Amino acid sequence: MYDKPLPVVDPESAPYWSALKDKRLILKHCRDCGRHHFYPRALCPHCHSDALEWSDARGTGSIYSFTIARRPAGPAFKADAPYVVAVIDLDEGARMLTNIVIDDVEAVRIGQRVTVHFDAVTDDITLPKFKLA
Amino acid sequence: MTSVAHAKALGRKAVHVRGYGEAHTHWTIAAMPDLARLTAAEVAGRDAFAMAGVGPEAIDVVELYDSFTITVLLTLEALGFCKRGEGGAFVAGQRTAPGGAFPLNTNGGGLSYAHPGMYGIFLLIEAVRQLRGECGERQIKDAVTALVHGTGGTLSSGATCILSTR
Repeated sequence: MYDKPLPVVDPESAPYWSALKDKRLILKHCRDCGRHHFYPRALCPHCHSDALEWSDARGTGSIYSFTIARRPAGPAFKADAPYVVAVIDLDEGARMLTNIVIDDVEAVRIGQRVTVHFDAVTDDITLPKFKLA
Repeated sequence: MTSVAHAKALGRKAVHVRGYGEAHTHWTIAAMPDLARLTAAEVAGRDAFAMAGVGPEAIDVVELYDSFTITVLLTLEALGFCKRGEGGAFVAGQRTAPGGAFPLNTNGGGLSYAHPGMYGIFLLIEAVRQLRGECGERQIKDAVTALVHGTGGTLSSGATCILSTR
């Protein structure tokens, strides 16, 4: 039984969640300005174009910033504490808020290389988390 | 808010809006362009100073939204009162305490005065009271120009207002 909050899958984000279920991380890519963004949107946040397409991400990046949560964000997260909440700079240029999956939370540093780790939390939802590369 | 003519007719010291600016940069915190930089405040402050035709050195009283202590330091840097990364040193040594060299959050700030979640209006009220000379013991002597800055969202929105009795 998974009792943490689950994402609301809507038509705009359905392809993203569907790809994760197949262990693929995909990002929106703008055909006009060439940049990627996250979270997936209908308009490019960089140039406001709607000429967007889904593209496979490499699933690699580096830690932009992080914090160690020693007090859980509610009872459902109690067993996880201490856990790492991090912002990752994906190599495509987009930034993601996620978790670093690691036993020794003290080992995490800004700038460390990370790779995506697919956490299938329910039959329908797989969350993209990261591990140190 | 009223016209200059009406304000004069009311017989109280008029406080004028000399400049304002506002900006919004992101929604989720992960999309903030730089976690250590209030880009929205930089844009809002630049526009407000340009409209008022003054710079940070012309401000007698500063009222900043203080959701967290870091918010104040980043706002001071973004508005140009000190350089980036120097906000901590800027407020050290009681410089912003009552009687200090840099009058800041003279109502005590959100932490000690009130922080209902929509604190911005209290900043405007305190700035107007200071410029009208109604502040009693905490009155900043000869205060003519005040700056008010509000921050909203997840450090994502900024609004600056410059008020003056001249």
